[in-house]
This record gives sequence, structure tokens and C-alpha cells, in this order.
Amino acid sequence: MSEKTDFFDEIIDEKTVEKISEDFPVLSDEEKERIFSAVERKLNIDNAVNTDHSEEVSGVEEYIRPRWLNFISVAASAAVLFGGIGGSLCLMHNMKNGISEDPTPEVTSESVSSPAETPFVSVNADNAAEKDINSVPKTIKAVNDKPAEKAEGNAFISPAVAVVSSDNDETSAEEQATVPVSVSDINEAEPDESAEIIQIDEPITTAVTAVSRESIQTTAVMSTYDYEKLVDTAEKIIDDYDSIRNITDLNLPVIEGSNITVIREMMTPSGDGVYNRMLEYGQVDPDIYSDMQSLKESFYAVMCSSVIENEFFGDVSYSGFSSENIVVDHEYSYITYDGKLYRLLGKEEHELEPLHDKRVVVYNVSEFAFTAEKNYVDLTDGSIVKVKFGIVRDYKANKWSLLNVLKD
Amino acid sequence: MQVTDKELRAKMKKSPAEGRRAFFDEYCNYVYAIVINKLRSCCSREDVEECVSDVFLDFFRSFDTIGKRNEELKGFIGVIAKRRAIDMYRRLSKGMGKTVSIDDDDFEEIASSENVAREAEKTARNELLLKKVHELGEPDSTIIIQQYYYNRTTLEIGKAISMTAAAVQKRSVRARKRLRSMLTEIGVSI
Repeated sequence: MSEKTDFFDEIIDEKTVEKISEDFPVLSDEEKERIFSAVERKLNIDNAVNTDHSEEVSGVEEYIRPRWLNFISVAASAAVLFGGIGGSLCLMHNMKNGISEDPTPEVTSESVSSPAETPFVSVNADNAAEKDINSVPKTIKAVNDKPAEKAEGNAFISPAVAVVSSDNDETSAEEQATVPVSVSDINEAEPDESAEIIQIDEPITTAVTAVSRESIQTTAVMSTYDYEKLVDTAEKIIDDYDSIRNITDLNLPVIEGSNITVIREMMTPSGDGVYNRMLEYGQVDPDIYSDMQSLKESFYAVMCSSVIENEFFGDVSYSGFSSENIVVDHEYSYITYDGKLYRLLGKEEHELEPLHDKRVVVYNVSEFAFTAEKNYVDLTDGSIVKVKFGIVRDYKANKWSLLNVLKD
Repeated sequence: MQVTDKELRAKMKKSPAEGRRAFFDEYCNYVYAIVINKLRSCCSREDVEECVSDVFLDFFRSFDTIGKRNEELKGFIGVIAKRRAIDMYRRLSKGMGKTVSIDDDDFEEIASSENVAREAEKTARNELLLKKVHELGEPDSTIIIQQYYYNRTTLEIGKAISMTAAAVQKRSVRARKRLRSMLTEIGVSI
């Protein structure tokens, strides 16, 4: 090896190397192929690596929006637009109708034709003064044109007033008279004024009806301005009235030889407070009826009972139970309903049969009361008789109640 | 057959694969000579071939750049080969413990990269040496170059020139004696 260094261990210039390579090529074909394969292999690897990172992206891909999407968009927009417009118009129309449907109490008036036949008067005081008082001696004014004021005064003034029958006994005149009365009047009536003692010498007949309590008690209607509801309410009350009025053939338990003293409040108002309230609202003409007694003498209640709870006779008058000190006037018919004693009717002159094919007509509607009118057939002579029912609102019991009945 | 750079460029442009092959055949011995000149004392045959392949790889990678500049390809690849060989030499010398600490007392001062007088003397010496090698005649010149420049064994040389290893060895001994006497005559001591 020392000999090797003797020749070429020194630095050899490029020109000498070039000459050596040219004059003495050393690489065999096998060596060339091996080295070139290594070059190609490295080059391919390098190209592959560079290819991964040398991708070029050019141009912009254009998004083509489908045409049907445009139609759908237009259709959806149109639907929303027209839906909004239509909804707005419908809403405006409904609101307009709602405002126009604001209920207005119907105010009707009736002219006075005869004091005996037409006890309802709806004229004001001036008009009433112009009329011939002598020709209408027994007329009271029913204030119908100011329901709001009545409501504020918490005093219902019924347009229906019964006419006193001249055939009644004088002893029962006070009980037979019925005047328009408000619920408050009834509630506020003092026991001394309203309590009556009815004595009966003969055995009384009591009837137990098959009518349920719910049917006789009127349905409470929240809205007093709904005419249809008022008609339905009136029909139910009138049906209850008819069912009670026509009880004649039932086998009622007889309490023989007993004296029943009714100590509970009768529904017939008789106090001066009621009369004064009627004067206050112009319901009664003081020139004609100077006091409550004269008013009672002029009218007769077709039905004096009411379904108001505090006007029941009470538990002391159970059917079949003979309670002492309870005196019942024989001039009235009494029934027991739901275990309680009711005064049913006074003496009726005529036997009436209701016409069920015609609906009840409601008028004189106020917040607290209205008048219902129904036609009946008088079986005695076949004539048509109009019966008017005064129906009042009992807010305490949250129901409508029958106040009084008038035959036209 | 000598191929010009123009033809090589045309081939590379026409068919890169064929162009690379032609370029490799043209300059492989030249690159090999440069690389082994530097790595002869420290590297194995495989390391030299690895370095040669790296030289051509660098050249092909940068061919697009240099191809546009009408430069001499031989000079360009010669520079690549020389620098690649130096890199390889430094990398392998570290592993062989040939590095010298700068704090070592034996550390010589860094000489200038250019020693004109020495370079000129060596160039003249190398020219004379190569001239006398050629004067030995074949196959003695080939045996001397391959044995002392390319570090080939007598077996490899005999296979290349179709001689037995023993014959190559004998001819190598005789050729060295003749070369030494020839250089002594002209005043060059080896």
C-alpha cells in the first residue's frame, strides 16, 4: 500500500483527473448499470415525492344552479307573500266583523192598551203623563230603556207584572200579589217584612215531582247578551215552570191534620223597600199606586215561586214530615221538590197548554234580567194566550231564576 | 463516440429517460474519477458508487435550470461531483475519528485554500507522472492507474484486461520499477 501512496496520494488537479478518466475508463458495464439504476430509483422516488406536493390547481369550478330550484323558490316566495296578504285581509275582516257584532241590548217598548190586559208599559214618564190616567188606572211603568243604569243600581226591574185576580180572597191578597223585584231586594229583605205565616186548617196535598233539581234550576249563563243562550235558558225555565204547574194527578203524601207554619222567607216581596226601589226606577206610578199594599191588590202572581235557594221553604217541610207551627194557606198549591216545600201557584182561572212548536221570544234584555214570551192555548176556550216570564240573574247562585209570570 | 452537450440537451428534451442514459454514459467515468480521487483513502467501493449516483441525481434534478443556460455540462457536473465527494468525505471521516479538535496542540493552522506555488508544482508533477505512465505502454499503464488511482485489486484488474491476478501482479511490480527509474531520470522523486 505504501507504493500506492507514492503515486496518487497527493492532490490531483482537475485536468489530470479528466485525462485519467478519458484515457483509463474504469467502470465496467455492470458497474455502470448498477449506478444508473440507483440514480433512476432515487429520481423516481424524488419525482413521486415532488409530485405529491407539486399539484397545481387552476381555474374556477362554476356552480350551476338547477333551474327547477328557481321555480320552487319563486313558488315558495309567492305562497308566503300571498299567504301573508290573505291572512292579513282575513284578520282585518274578522276584526271588523267582531267590532260590528258588539251586542246591543235590544230595547223594545209596548204601548198601553188596557190596564187589565196589558200591564207592561215601557214608555217614559213624559209619555205616560200624556196618556189618560183614568182610562189606564192600573198601569205601572216598566223601565226598559236604561238597562245599564239598572245594572249599576243592582236593581232589576221586571217588565212583567201580574194582574190581581178579583176573585181572590181578601185574606190572601198580600201573598198573591207579586211585583217586580231584584235579587238584592230579595236578599236584603228583612225577615220581619218578608216572613209570612201561613196557616192551614185542612190537610194539605204535597206532590213529589219527578223533575230533577238540575232541570228546575236554570242553567247559569255567563253571557247575558247571547240571545240564543237566553232563549235556551228561558225555555228550560219555562219548561220547569210548566212541569211544576201541571202537576195535578200525582199521588202526593198527605199530611193530615197538621198545621204547618212556614217561617222561612216567602218569595213574594212585600216590604216598603221594594216599593221605594220601584219608585226610584220609575217602575211604579205613585199617583196610581200609593203604597205596596195597593200595588199588591192590583196584581196577582201567576207563579210566585222561585228556585232561588234562600226562597225554599226549608228542611222543616219535608214531604211526609208533619211539622208543627207551619201554617199553609190553602189558597195555594204546594209541592215538595227535592225534599223541600214550594208554593206552586195561586188559583188559575184558565187551564193553559203550552205550544211547544214555537220558540220563546226574548226581549227587554239587560245585564240582569230579560223577558221571555211564550204562547199557550187556553183549553177552556181555545184562544191563544201570551204568557210573559220575568227572568232575573241571581249572581249569588250564579244562575237564572224565574221571577214572575204574566198572562197577557 | 463523443457526444456533444447540444446533442445531450436535445435528447434530454426529446426523451428525458434516454437523455439521462446518454448523459450518464458520457460522464460516468469522469464523475467516478473525480469522486474516487477524493474518497480513495476513506471509502469503500459502495460508498463511491453511492456518491456517484448522488452526483447524477443532483444533476438531473437541476437540469431544467442549467439546461436553459447554455453552460458547459461537463464543468457543471464536475463541480457537483467534487462538492458531493467532499461532503461524503467529511461525513464518513467523522465516523472514522479523523476529526481533529481545534484545541489540540497538533492542530495545524488552517492553510489557505490556494497555494499557487504548490498547486503549480503538483500540476507539473502530475502531468509528468501521467506522461511516464503512458510511456509504460499497455497493459502496464492501465494496471498502474487502476491499481493506484482507482484502488482496484489485481483480481479485478485481471478480469478487466483478461489476465490472471498473478500475471497482473508481476506486471505491476515491473511497471512500478520502470516508472520509478523513468521519473528519477527526469529528476522527479516519488
